[in-house]
Amino acid sequence: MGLTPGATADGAEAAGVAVASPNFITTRLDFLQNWARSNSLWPMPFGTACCAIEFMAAAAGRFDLSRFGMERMSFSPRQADVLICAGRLPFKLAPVIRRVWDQMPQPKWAISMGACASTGGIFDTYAMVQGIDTIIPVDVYVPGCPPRPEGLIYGIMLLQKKIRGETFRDPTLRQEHLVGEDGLFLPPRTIDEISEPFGNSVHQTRSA
Amino acid sequence: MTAVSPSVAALRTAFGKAIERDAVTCGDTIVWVALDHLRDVLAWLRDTPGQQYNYLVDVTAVDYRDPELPLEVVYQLRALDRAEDLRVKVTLDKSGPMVVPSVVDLWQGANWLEREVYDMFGVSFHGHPDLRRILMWETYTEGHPLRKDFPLRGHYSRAEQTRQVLSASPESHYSLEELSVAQAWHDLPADMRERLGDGGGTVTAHAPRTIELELSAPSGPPRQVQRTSEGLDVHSESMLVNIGPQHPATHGVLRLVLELDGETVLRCIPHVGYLHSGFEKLGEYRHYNQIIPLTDRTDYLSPMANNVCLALAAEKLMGLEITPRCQVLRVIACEMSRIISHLVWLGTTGIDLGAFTPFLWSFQERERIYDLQEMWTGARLTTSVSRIGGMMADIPDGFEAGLRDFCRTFPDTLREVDTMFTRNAIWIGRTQGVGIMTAEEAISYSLSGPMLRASGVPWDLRKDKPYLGYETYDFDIPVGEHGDIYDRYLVRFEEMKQSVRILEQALDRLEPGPVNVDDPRVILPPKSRAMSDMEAMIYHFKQVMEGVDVPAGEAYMGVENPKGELGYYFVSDGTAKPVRWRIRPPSFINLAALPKMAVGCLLSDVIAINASVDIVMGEIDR
Repeated sequence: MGLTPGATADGAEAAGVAVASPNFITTRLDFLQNWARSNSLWPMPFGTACCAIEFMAAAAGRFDLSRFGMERMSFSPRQADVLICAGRLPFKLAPVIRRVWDQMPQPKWAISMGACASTGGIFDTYAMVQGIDTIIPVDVYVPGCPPRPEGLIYGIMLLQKKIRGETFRDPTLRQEHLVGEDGLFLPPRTIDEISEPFGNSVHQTRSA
Repeated sequence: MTAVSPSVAALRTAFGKAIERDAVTCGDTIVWVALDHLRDVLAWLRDTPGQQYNYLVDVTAVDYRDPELPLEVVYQLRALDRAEDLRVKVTLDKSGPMVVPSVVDLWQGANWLEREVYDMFGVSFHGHPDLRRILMWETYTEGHPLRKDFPLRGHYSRAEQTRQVLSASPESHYSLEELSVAQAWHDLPADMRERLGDGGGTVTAHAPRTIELELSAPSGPPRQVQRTSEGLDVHSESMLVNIGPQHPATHGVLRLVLELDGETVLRCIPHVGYLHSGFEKLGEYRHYNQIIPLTDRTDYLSPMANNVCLALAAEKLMGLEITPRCQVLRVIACEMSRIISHLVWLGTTGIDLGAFTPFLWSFQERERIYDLQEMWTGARLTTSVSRIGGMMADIPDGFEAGLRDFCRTFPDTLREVDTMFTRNAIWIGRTQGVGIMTAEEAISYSLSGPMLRASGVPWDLRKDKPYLGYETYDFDIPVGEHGDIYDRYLVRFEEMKQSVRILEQALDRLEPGPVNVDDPRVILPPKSRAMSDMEAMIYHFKQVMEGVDVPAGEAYMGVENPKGELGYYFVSDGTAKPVRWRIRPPSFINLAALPKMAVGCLLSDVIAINASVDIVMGEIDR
């Protein structure tokens, strides 16, 4: 789950929310709800760059996303369940993805497809957001530059698995994580920290 | 090709002292012109008989690493009749205000190019009709990114950059939903207010041309849309419609703001830069071979062709001759790219106009090329297939048979598409007579590729400035006559057929032989030798750590990419990393003609026209 705090039942209890203990009825209801949700995800393809081409390939004949109940692309965020950010996210586009995310109704999930969306990728430059998780909460990261359609499908299956583990008894799960008053989604220190270059060495210097 | 262009002597006769100096590097003639005479010289070069540099290839600027050296603004000109290029430069002192006369009235294509130079370098263009930032947003405060005193990651911390952009959203001023101009007036950005407020002018809708199947062509005189002369009429019916940046029909993150009268487009204002990733800046921090992976990601619909162009540009700079087998392999790479790029165009344009099936057909064929690319390079999309002086690998066993099989069966798919589109009443009704560019307009707007040829200009770099031995292949260049969307479709359709022809010939020419040049300074020694032979290990180490040695100089290499003329312009100061890596982006320049084509059309036509340009945002925004 990464950066979204308090999204588990444990978190809810820690936050002092009264949680009814699970019983036969609630678990069956959870099962039914999650089964329905996970098998008819309507994706909002936020396709920006190269990954969008692989996303299109995943939707086309050979890989066929409709096997997952996902062939109904929802180009309007208001009818979408899962935002798939396929491609680079420059700063100029950051307010756009934030707005699209805010326009999506709950329940909603986000998949960050590809290296650039997840971490900035090779573009450690003045123009690029270093990972969309500094702008919106992300559920599944799909690595690759670009990920193969199989990779995306695996990510989608992981998301389905995650959805099957959700329970409606957890009130924090559907909480909106809005942008704070300073205009930021995460504290500035966290943004700086996760925007640092990474690699096999913690002492890796920036390439410039 | 080391001779000075004869235009230099003519220029010296006509302008004398105003021609500061001239030089020839890598076969390109460069002329330095005094700033005061720049406009006169450019106008003279365009209009004088015998010169007629009627095509503006590129406008860009170079900031050298040495802070003492002045900044240069570079104009790449071309005489289409003689296939001759000339580079005109003007130097600007960085300490003073950097102002250059605009050449938009000479070449319409200079409009966005000059805006880009302004955005990236801070050079002002006197007389430009609409000088504002184009790739960065208008309230961007950090500076001009391609200046050498601008750090690669910008001046501010990531948190500050994120905060600024989220709190100063470019869209926050007005709703993305439809608004009337009157309602939105005070919230509009200043530039749009200026544009809307200038009034005057009459917009004429194009008369539909008679079409083959006698479809319902509305008769009567072309519709006249009157605009009030005293500025904006707030009581008018005109309405603003915003399309994008997230919209299925914009082929990426393009944003169009349309002013409509009913359904007729009065103005079309494209906003680009939503995918600006800083490619050119990043290239200045990398060795030449390390730039090749970046080129995959600019025009990601034809990665192999970009890789080849970059290798060609670096080889031109170094004066390197490649092997015959490498030439053939590169032709194969380029033509495979042409086919997959046109297939995406076909599929997505079909979706835009309401036909979903061709998308599935074209992606089915793309998967077959993907398989071949993967077999060759290990990647489906980001191939990085070329290296300076050769290729990353020879083609593997089974590739040739696979490609032959593709060439044999692919025309069947094309025939299916042909049956579906070419004489389809809806397709013809939506595309014929829409988005017309005449030959003169196409040249003035610096269009290239299928956009230029559909307008009736028979210009193809493969024929007119051949590279990779294209002059020895037998193929035809399709040229349109009406310059509308339908002709662009026919041109691209025919180009796919011709690419198959070239591929077949190339496969027949594949002789066994070395792929890479025999030069340990540019080509890595085999790993087995690097591990056992001291000399090979040293070369291996030097190349990996220090990069390929490139002499000081500069070179512009243009190739005929699927979208148009892709040009890479390198400026080297003799170090392993380029001073300037400029991409001449074909779809950026082609898209700049969209407002011209869209005005007077219907709203639904804008979608079709935009699709017909065949844009790829990765390349437009870079």
